[in-house]
Amino acid sequence: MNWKNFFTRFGQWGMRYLPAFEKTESGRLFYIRGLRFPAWFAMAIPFMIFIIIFVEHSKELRRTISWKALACSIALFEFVLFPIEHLGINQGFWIYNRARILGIEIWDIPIEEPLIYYLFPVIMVVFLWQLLFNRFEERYICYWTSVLLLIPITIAFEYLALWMDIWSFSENASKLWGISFWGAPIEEFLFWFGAPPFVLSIYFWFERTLSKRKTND
Amino acid sequence: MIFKICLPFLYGIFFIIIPVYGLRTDYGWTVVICFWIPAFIFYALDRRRNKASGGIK
Repeated sequence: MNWKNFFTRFGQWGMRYLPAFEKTESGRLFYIRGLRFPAWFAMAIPFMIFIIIFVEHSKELRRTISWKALACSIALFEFVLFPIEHLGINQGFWIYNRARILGIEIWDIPIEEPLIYYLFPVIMVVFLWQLLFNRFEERYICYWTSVLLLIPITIAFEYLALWMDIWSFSENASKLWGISFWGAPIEEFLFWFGAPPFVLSIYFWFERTLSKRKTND
Repeated sequence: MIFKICLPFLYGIFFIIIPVYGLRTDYGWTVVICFWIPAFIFYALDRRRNKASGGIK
């Protein structure tokens, strides 16, 4: 059985209604489809609610978390994501629906990304690990548990975004490997499953480095 | 046992298989280089530092 063909056909189920792409003057692809509604901004609301509940609920979380390490992790995450996102948008890895974003852009990137999505998910990942760590006190077990718990959440997030028609993918825009699951290419999962371990690993590094410096002082 | 072996093993499937698949395209290798490899390096560094400090956080 040719698995690549199987997955390609299976994945194209969600790609049957690809939009007509347009090009900006700089050659960047975009499309406009559906009612004008800032869905990408609206999707951040659950993140904000989760974070408020976490912080409000747990005094221990507020006390135990390394806020400096968290701030450094967010800064590094923004620093890494900015060029990736710029490259991704310009190369057509993913294509935004201009009807579903606010429309303000920084370096070709919709403003929702650096203001919300480089920030709140990082906080959420670290909070989740810290909550588990406060409860079980096993650094690496809590690392893997957080990462595994985030897999279904990120999958749900991807399909919610596709369902809300915030972005789309096309082989014509950028060469993809060809395996996709209900409209989401396998590369997208590579992104989703890679980001949480990256965030936690850099948080660990900053946390240990900063606490060591504090001890030395 | 479940947490110490099975969880890293399960995630290891993604760590090994998905980058191999993903490295075939521009989108894939960008994510592998910027996320997966640094994640692995920082994780390994932390494990080493943890061991050096006697396993105490």
